[in-house]
Amino acid sequence: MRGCSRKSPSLPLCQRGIKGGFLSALVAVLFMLAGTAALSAPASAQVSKEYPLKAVFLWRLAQFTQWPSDAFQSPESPIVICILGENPFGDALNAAVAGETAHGRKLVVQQHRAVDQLRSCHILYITGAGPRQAKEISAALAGRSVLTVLDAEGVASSYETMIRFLTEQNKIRLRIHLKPVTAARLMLDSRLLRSAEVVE
Amino acid sequence: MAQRQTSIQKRVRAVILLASVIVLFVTAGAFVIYEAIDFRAQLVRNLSTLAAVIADNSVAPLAFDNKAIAEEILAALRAQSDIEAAAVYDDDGNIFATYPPALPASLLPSAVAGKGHQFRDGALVLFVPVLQEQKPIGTLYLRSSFRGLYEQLWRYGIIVLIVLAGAFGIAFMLSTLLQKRISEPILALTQAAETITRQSDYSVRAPKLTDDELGTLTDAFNRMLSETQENQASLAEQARLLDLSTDAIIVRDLQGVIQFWNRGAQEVYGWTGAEALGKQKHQLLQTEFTEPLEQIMDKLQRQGRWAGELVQRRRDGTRIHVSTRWVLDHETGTNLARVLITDNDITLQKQAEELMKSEAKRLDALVEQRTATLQETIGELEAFSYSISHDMRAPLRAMQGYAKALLADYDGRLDAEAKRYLDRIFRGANRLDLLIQDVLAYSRVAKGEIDLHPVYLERLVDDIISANPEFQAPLARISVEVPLHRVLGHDAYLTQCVTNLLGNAVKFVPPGVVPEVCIRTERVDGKIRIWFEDNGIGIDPLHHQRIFQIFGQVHPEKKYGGTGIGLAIVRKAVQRMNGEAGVESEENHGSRFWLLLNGGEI
Repeated sequence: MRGCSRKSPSLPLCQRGIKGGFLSALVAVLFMLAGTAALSAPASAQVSKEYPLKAVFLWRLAQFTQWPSDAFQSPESPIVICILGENPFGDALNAAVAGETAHGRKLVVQQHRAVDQLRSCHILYITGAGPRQAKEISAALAGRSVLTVLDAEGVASSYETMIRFLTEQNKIRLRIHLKPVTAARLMLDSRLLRSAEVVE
Repeated sequence: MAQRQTSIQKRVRAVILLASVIVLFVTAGAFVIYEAIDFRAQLVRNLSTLAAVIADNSVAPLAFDNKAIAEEILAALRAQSDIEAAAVYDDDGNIFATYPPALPASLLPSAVAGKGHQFRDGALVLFVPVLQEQKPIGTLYLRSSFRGLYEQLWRYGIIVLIVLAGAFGIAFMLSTLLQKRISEPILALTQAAETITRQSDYSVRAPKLTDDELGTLTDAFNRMLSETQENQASLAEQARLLDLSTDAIIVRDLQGVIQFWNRGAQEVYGWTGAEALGKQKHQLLQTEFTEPLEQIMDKLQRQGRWAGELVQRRRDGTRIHVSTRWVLDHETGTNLARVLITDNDITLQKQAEELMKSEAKRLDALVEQRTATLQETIGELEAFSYSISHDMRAPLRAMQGYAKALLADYDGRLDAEAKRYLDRIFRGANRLDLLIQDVLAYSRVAKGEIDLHPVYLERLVDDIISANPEFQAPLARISVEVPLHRVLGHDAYLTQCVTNLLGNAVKFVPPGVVPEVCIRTERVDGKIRIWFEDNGIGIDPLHHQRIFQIFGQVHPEKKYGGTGIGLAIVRKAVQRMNGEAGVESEENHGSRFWLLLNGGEI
């Protein structure tokens, strides 16, 4: 955990976590002052239980998705999970992927502000997009095999993703649009399809 | 044979059936046991496979926390009736989904194991990890009942029973067919043996049905039968020969029980073999022993044989004499020793013998009686002849005396012719007198009792020579070789004998020869022989017997004179003295007369 935190480039994620509450922020600061990065647990604890679960769901999607081989530069290349815009996970996603693999590849979390940085992503997580941004994203991802995930419960999004996290009766559910998935030359595990709501 | 199940048929069938049933039971048992063992492994395998599929399908619901889907997946277990319970646990060991949805806690495990199976409470319990990318994200729990096992075993059991029944039926049919191959030759043998036992017919042969050991047995049986038949025939022949014997041939054991009885025995004793066999011989024949049976048996044991005569009774009660020979037969061992007895009926011989004995006795008595009569007659005759002879001498003496007186007194008045006639009357009378004297002497010798005692021969001979001038020189030379042995005799008889013999010796000499006689004795076998050897004319051996008979004179009396009774008197006298007389002589070579008498030494 600690090692992961160290090599993780997403210090802002932690900063986002501090915003989750004064006490936790204080504790985080204290830890940072101590010069360690091992703050994920107390930090994530601060986040509602929803996001750690979503973090797990997110990286696990990688396990149920088959990318075309040209999506990776080399067999050792990791699967990159990108978060565009706000990071609602705090440290939870980094913690969740730490040590995990999918198809033998490591998992890496990146946070981007700009759409043009999304070319190296394999999974794109967005919390919503306006019409302009949606166009940009579509353009950026055109021809690319990127699994797009929208986490916008009850929120209208201009960009329709392949997978959408929904909340039903305090349970997180998945809705899958198969069309863009096939268009992006991605293949989803049938077991995933069975556990999700599939929309043509 | 078909209507009656014989023992061998039953046995062979039982063996075949037993073997078949045992094999079937062992096979079926092994099969059922194997199934029972294998079923568990199979159950584990099947359940593991099922669990693997369900675990795999449970990955996504677990990963994405979709309980409904997980339960839906578990609900697919409905198809497996043996599955009593199933549950999916999450990574932390909390129940995520169950089957059936309302699962009683009793069917859930008390603790969640990571992996593996166990049989407990009559059910198989299996834990399988739910893996995603080789990492466990949960655990699947399955519980399967053994109902399937029991059902399957029950099915197997029924199948086994059906197969057993069918196989038993087939084995029964096969055994019925197969047992014939074994039992039929044996039954054929048995039948042959029974026929032989019942009918004593050794010409029966068992049919040979196979070429195996039973065939060999049948051959051997038939061969033995052939040999027995031959033996039987030769025994019958021997028995026939034994029956031909007119002697009774009987075999009895040492206790006297009759074991063999031939036709001869039947003829001799009248009892048939069937009546006699097994009976006590001496009881049956009422044997009268001439010596005690114990003694006879003792002899038999020691010498192996005994022969004798017995009196026994025929069946009709007649007493018969038998000559019997007993031989001990040790051949069959000491304990089984037997006695072979050969009897023949000698009653007729016995009767003939008895008859002859009594006849002989009668004849003896007759002879004795006749002899007595004869001796009486002889005595009378002798007395008669003695008195006749004696009485005849008186007229003879008158004839002699008057003839002599006539010659002397009328010498001048008688012519020569008359003198010659007178001389012949005188000599005739003389001769008749001599004859009468000899006859008297013979009669004296022949009759009356005599008393024998030792006699001194030397003195006796001396007296005789002294009393007779013709035995003295110069008329004769008589020498005696002393000593002469004493003999047992009678003085008067011996004097008669010696006088007669010396008289003959000096009388029968050629003309002009002076007679010489030598008297000597010798000992012969305890007796004494007295020799009288002379130089006389000798006697042809042809006449040696005749000269000792009365009037057995060889030479014409005119030449040598004599009555012809002298040697007869000698023989008679010597016989009365229990002796013998004889002669050794050839004509012209002298005679050697001898007397053989008992010695006179005490």
